[in-house]
Parts: sequence; structure tokens; C-alpha cells
Amino acid sequence: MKHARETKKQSRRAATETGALSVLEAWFAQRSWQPFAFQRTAWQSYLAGESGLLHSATGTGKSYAALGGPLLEWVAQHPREGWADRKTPPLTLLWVTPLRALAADTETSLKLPLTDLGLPWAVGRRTGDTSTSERQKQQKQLPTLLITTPESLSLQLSYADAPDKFRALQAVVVDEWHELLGSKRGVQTELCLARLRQWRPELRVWGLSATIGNLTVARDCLLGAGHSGRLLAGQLPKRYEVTSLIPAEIERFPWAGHIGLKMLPQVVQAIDGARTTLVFTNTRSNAETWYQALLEARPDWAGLLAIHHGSLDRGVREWVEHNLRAGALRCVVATSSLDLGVDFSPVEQIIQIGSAKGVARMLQRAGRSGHQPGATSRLLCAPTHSFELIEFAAARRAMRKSLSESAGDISPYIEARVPYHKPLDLLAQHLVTVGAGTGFDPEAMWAEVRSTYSYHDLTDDEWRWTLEFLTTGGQALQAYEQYRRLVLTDGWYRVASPALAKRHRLMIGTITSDAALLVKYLNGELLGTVEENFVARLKKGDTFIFAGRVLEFVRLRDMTVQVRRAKDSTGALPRWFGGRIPLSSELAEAVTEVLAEPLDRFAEPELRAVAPLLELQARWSRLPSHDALLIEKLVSREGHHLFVYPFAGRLANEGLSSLLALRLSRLQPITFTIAINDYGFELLSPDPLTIRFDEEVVRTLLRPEQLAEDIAASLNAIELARRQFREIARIAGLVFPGYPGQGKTAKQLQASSGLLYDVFARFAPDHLLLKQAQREVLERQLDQHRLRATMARLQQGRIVICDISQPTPFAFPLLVDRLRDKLSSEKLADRVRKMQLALEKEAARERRR
Amino acid sequence: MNELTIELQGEQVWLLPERALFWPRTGTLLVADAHLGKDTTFRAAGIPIPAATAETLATLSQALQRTSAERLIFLGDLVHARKGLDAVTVDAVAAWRAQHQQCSMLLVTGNHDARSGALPAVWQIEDAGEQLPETPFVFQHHPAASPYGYALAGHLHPAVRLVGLGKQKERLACFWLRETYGVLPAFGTFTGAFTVTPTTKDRLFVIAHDSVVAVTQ
Repeated sequence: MKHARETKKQSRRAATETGALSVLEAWFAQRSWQPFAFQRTAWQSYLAGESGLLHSATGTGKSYAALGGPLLEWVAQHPREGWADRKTPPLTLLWVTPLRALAADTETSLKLPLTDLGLPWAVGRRTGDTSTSERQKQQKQLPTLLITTPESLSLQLSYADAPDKFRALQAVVVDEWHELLGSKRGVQTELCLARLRQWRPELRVWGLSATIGNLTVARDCLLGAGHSGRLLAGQLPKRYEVTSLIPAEIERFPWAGHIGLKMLPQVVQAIDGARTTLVFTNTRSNAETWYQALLEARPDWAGLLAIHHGSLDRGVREWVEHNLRAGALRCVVATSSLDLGVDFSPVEQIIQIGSAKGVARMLQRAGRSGHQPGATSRLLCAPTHSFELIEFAAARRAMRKSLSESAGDISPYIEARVPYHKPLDLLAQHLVTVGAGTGFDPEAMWAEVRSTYSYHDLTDDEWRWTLEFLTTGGQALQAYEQYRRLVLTDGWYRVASPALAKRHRLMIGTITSDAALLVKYLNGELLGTVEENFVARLKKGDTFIFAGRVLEFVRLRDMTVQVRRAKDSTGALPRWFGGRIPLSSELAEAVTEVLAEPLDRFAEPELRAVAPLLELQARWSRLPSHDALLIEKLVSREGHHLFVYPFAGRLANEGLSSLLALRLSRLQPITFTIAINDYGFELLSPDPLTIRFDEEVVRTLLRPEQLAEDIAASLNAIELARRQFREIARIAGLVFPGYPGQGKTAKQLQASSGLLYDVFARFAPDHLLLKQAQREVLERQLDQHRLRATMARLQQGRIVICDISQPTPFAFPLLVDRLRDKLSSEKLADRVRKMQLALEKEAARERRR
Repeated sequence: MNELTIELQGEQVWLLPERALFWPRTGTLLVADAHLGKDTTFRAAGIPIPAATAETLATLSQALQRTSAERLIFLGDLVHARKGLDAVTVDAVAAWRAQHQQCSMLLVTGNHDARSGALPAVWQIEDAGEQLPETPFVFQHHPAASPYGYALAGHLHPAVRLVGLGKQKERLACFWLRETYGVLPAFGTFTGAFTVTPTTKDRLFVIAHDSVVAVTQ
């Protein structure tokens, strides 16, 4: 009997769902659209109760594929007649987006079918930008569809009434999941989802992702340990056209550089030839430089030219996005801030300044143009130095391969996003979040945390350590009252005091940004943010370029940089962290493949252009190759140089350089300074090597045994760990950014986390957060996986040592790099005796007087 | 540990790698900016940092023993902030003080001290006011020329940048001896440093781990 009733119920449900589907299809037809096959599959799959990951190249239809399921289900359950006088349904669908800047556009596009169909759903946003009045409204009831960021979601969980607010939640959609995946915000999302699943065991979770190299992992991460789900491919990619601007005289083109203004005339010409162009640069400061240069070259473009990057004020960014969409701009200079999100249909071409350093990023950027039906995505690459031409050609080859051979979910030609493995800083933060909300039972919470992909193998010891860190401050510290973040009463952990809960809420969401200061005109108009360490160097009256304007620094007050428009037209460029993207191993591989080909048979224009330079390299030394490691030795006035080219990308090259330097320094007392780029590294010492240095010795020095230990022992890795600790300290709540508007009193607490690291390293060397910093350095900063693979390769291949009499084309960029690491086996006092006072510019001037 | 003996205003003085200055003729040890209790200030705000005060005190003891100083003068900023003076810090300093009964201790007032109020009586550290002249020197917190003599001061936490062949760079805490006054490096472990801009007339001595090295200009 029961069975028959179930079947009947199912068939009735199927019938109403078919009815609902016709409603949605009618809407598509009304817009003269046709649902794609993958959209229908996604809807069916959702209705069948499944979760999953939807992936495709940028663009069409992923949002509606994810929205359709929940919408259809609701329509099927609620007969249309009753819609008009229904109360607003409770929170049903949660939409997580990585950038709050995207939230507004997402809202507009999701609202479209809901409004057209007359659904009584309320749609709202909850991000750091949400107004206080809107927040208060949401305090009473959350909208039916809430668009939020991982940080704001986490914040919601820090209130005791969270389970009630989420009681009717059916589904979570995580947009641009690939963007979150490789970051700690991805882990934060995982932890939040685990929490929501406790309250809503039937919760369906769907991720939307661009094409990346490890989609299975991306899905598993999102769905959590022990959950299965669909991996659904979206629409087939569009046509791409990737070309490069070739410098007129390659001999005169720089061998090193990163701004590339030599290509300005050609870039201007290309912009002139298209209706709307997006110019991508790799860093925010480059975006500012290019914006200024374009304006100077074409003053008649004033008002048609705009700049867009993550440090600009939201109002400015929204203005640019709006006008871009409306087709009112000729050109926008942008950073990765415009990589994501909705389509800007008028964009006809993309110009990429400098190498995008990865195949996936090239694809993503190319995909930002050509959204008109049947159009081709056009990507024009402008080199900033000669060798980038090789990267352009190599990336195009890899793109072609990945598109023609893209089968299955793992592509060897496209970069993967590696998720973080059980970061304890974030776990500590999350536990305080939950402690501030409902509180938790340790047993149940342990199981919940271990249900995530990231923490699935969290050990008992690590769990207990984290709890102890939060309740007493950790083993290393005497049990001071004031350490307590959590207290245990009757087997239940709660936050220690309402004041602490309040403070903690201010800290959630400080994962990404470094101490940022507001930049405002004296009249209060907000321009954006800059990092504190840039401002620290400014003096009253100094000028700098920001938001496309030349500004004069007036004063720093209450975490705000007050500026006025400068009369002067030149200024310093602010530096922002995170500008240097390493060459991906996939692209590095493609580049070495190119170098292995005979120079006279190059077919692509980029390679034909760069061939004379490669000939020069071959004549003065040799061409670096995949199966033989090239080492060049040079003696100059500065000292003794070793140039080594493993082609492993900046990160792994950095690991290899510290390793080689450390092992050499064990054989003789010596001091190295180290420069690194994507192709190789330079070890420079004031004194010559006295030991034998040949193929055999180098191979022994580069053996993979003791890798982790030796790297950890090198000073460079310690320095990196100190830097990495900055982020960890912030997330784990060791450094408090201060209450808004209380910048001054909080300053006493702004102990540089570097200092914190030193104190911990001395008094609590086994501190798990220190260990985490060291591990993250090895895995993230030095790309341990790739490092090991490269060393294994070097053990097999030949090692060629060349004496050179002048810096070769490949050596030159390393030679001029001023950003150097250091490693020494000499006594500091001995070294210092040979050093001199560094003459600051000002001091030098004073001395001359 | 290797100190460096130099001549200053016609007097022999030792520059100690513990970041202190010793004047043998009067048996006086000078220490600037110890910032005791800075760690506790952070902990009081809920930030767990292991005790650094203990280490600062241990280093002080070492310097006292090595020099057999009869008198210890703090050149200001002995205590970081009022909040730092919790029972743990007060007791730790008192216990350390008890080990050095034979040594008299004085504090020249600094900016942090003024805000921190009077020192705990159990510390037996005498208030020496803002300036303490002892020919040819005057001890004070702020580095500035004084009519009473060559000023020995703190406050700045001075450091200098050094460069060497092979693009080597270092930034090290230093003694910065100018024409009319000299600045000591900060003694406290948990303190930052400020890069100073010396002129050719200045003498500079950097702390290189366990040695003090004169900087060639």
C-alpha cells in the first residue's frame, strides 16, 4: 500500500514539475532564448535531489542552469493561483559569490526571470557593502534568495538565531567556485556548508566553475567528504583568436621589464580599430601606468577611457562597469578585477599587457570579449619584454590542445587550483564563529569539521590543540584569563564574552586584505584604498598616482589618507601586494617545448621575431632545455654569478635556489644573494666558489633527499614563513585590526606579525600555527610538489655548465633584479665588517653639502 | 659575547652586544627602551604572546654580571604601558630585582613612563627625573643636545642599513653616536626599530648577533 502511495505521489510530483518546466521554457521563449541541453540536465538533476559542479568557459547560461532547479521546484510545489497573496517565502536559496562587487550584477540577472514570472520571491544581498537599514530588515527575515560572500555567510553563522533563519533553506549555489577553491576563503566556504548541512541534511549544493585542471577535486571539495554529485560540462567553448603585437625591432626591445610602454603606439592603434577594448595588466600599479600613458597619447579619449581595479572605491568601479555595459567607453584598463562576473557584451577585443602566466587565465581573459552571437573572442597580447613572445606562442598552443583534446575532467594543459589542506588558523576562526553563534558540543563539532574535504583527516591532536589554543591560549602560554576565546560549560563550548563575540565579528572577513587605508579627498570624497606600507613612505606634499589621478598627500588621519589633486603631473605609483603571478608549470612546460625546436623552423610570428635573440643566447652560451639543466658562470665587478635555468616557475625556482645556496654554503663559508624569475635563478656571491663545481657535484647538490628539512633550514624559507605568518596571525585572531574609527588606540596592538613570529619561534617553536606557516611556505610559496618533480627530472638529465663573458639574454633579467633573498654561512659579524653604510638618497644629498 | 671598547668624550666606554652601554670608571650600565610588559599589553587585549619579559630580564642579568656594574640606569621607556603592569610582570621584575640587591637602579623618565605612572615600590627603582647630568655625560630619554654635557639617550630604537658586494643588504640595530648626543639601541626583545640617516660626522656601531662592529663610512 505504502509503496503504491509513494509511486502515485512521485508521478503527481513529476506532473507538476513538467508543468513548472513549461513555465520556465515559456519564459526562455519570451526572451527568444532556448534552454541549452546542459541547463535542462542541471534542472532535472537538481529536482532529483542531486548536488554537483557545473563547469564551462566564461559566459553563457551557468547562472540560469543553477537557478532553474530551485525555481522549478518551488513553482511545482506552489500552484500559481496562490502567488499573489502569499507571504514572502523564507530563505530558500543561498547564492555565494567570491566578490561583493559581483553581487549587484548577479542580483540583476537572477531577478530577471523571477520578476517576469511574477514569483513572490524576495531577492536580497548581504555583503560588506550592505547598508545598515537593509541589514536591520534582514535581521527580521532573510529574503527568499540571498546573495552573499563567504565572509558574510560566516558572519551569519555567528548569531544564535542562525538555525532558525536557515530553517527552510533548500540549496546553496557557489558561483565562481574555481576562484575560491585555491584560497582559504574556499575552506571557509567548506566549513560554512558543513554547518548548514547539519541543520539541513537534504541541502543541495551546486558549484559553478570556469575550466580548471582538477574539476573532480573541485567538486569533492564543495560537496564535502562522503557526498557524491554530478560533474556537468556546460556549453562548448567559443572560437578564440590569439595574436601578439610584435615589436618593430626586436634587437632594441628590452630583455627585462614589466611595464611594456614601448608597445604603446601599437596598443593605441589597436584600441582605435575596435569599438570597445578591455586592456588587462597583471598588477594594479601597471594599470595606473597604462591608463596615464593612454590618456597622454590620446587626450581626445578623455571620458572614453576608464580604469578598474580592486583598490578603487565601489562607486567608481560600478560606474565603470555600468558604462562598459552600456557601450559608452572605448577602453577600460583593468586587472583581474574584471576577470570575473557578468558579460560586457560591447567588448570586441582584449589586450593583455605582459604574459598572463597561465593557460587558464589566457582562456578566461580571451573569453571576456566577443559575446555577440557568432562572434570570435579576440585576445591581443602585448609583450613587456622579448621572452614573453615565447610565452604567448606557447600559451596559444596549449589553449588549442586543451580545446581540441578536452575530454574528461582532468586536463594536462590547464592549471589546477589546489585547495588548502586543514589550515588551523581558519579552523580556530570558525570555532569562535560557531561559539559566538549557537555554541557547540566538541564531539559533534569534530565530526562536522571532519566532514569537510579540507579537514577530513584532521587528527585528534590537532583538534585538541586548536581547542586548547582557543580556551587557554595554548600550551606554550601560562593560563591567563584574558586568553580565553571559548569557555566550556556543561560540555558545550561558547564564546567567552559578548565583547569578544563582537570583536570576533569584526575580524571575520579579514582573510584577504592587508591593512588597507582609505584614500579620500579633503572634502571626504572616497577614491579607494592603498596598503599601509606604501603610505608609510609618503611625506606631506609628495605626489602619487591613484585611480587614474595624480594626487598630493596631505595627511594620514584615523586610518584615512587625505589627499588633494596635485598640480604636478608626475608621481610615484603605489605598490600593492600580490602582483607577481608565477608562470604555471603547464605554461613553463609549453615554453621549454618551444625552445627545443630548431630556431629556423619556427612558424609562429612571435617565435620568428624572437629567434635572433635565441640565436644570440645559443652563440654566447646555450639554449636552456627541458632535458639538460643549463648553468652559466659569470664574473663581474659585483662578484661571482651563477645563473641556473630549471624552468620550473617562480615558486619552485625559489625553492631550488634556496636549496642549492644552502647546500653550497655548507661546503664553504659563503654569502649569496638570490634573484629569481620564472625561468631560473641567480646566486651571486662576493667571493668565488673554492669547491669543485661540475656536473657531478651539482647533481649531488640537487638530490631530492632531505628536501623538506634543508628548505626549512634555509634563511630564505624562514623569511617566507615570517611573511606567511602575517596572514595566519590575522585569521587566527592573533592580530586585531581594531574597531572602526578607533585607529589610534588599536595601533598599540598592531605589533607587526613578523615580531610575533619571532617571539613564537623562540618561546614556542612547536606552535602549530608556526608549523602551518612553514608548511604553507613549502606547499604554496615554494610549490613543493613541482619542486620535487623538477628535482627528479634534473637527476635524470644532463647538467651543462657554461662560462660566459657577458650576461646572456636569459641571464640579464636576473642580473638586474633588485629584489633579492639572502643566504649565508658566514658569521654575521664577519660579513658586517666587509659592508658599508647604505646611502639613502637624502643622506647622500646631505653629505654632498 | 664580545663587547667593543671605544672612547667617548675622553672616557672609555664598552658597547655591549646585549644592547647596553657600560661606563667602567663609574661602574654604570646604561639601558634604553626596555619596554617591559609590552608582551602583557598584547595579552591583556586577548592576544596570546609568550612572555618575553623573562628573556629581557635574563639578558639584563647577563650584562650586569659580565660588567659587575654597581649601578643600572634605564634611559626611559622601562615600562611599555600601564596595562602591561599586571601582577605577573610586577612579580617577575620584583624577583629579578631581588637577585641584584647590591646594584642601585635609576630610571630617567621617558614618554611611555610618563603615561604609565609611578613604578611599583617593590622594584626599588629610583626616579631620576628627566635629565641626570654626570660630567662629561647627561643621561636622558630624548636624543637632543643638552647644556649639561654629552647626552646619552634612547627613544629612537635606531637601526641602519648596510650594503656589501654581491648586492648584500642588512638592517641592524645600532649605537648612533653623534656630535652632541649618542643614541642607544632599544634593549627590549619585543620592540621594532627605526632606520636612522647618519652623517659622516657620526659614529655607528651595529649589533651583529654576539658582537658589536664599527661601521665603516
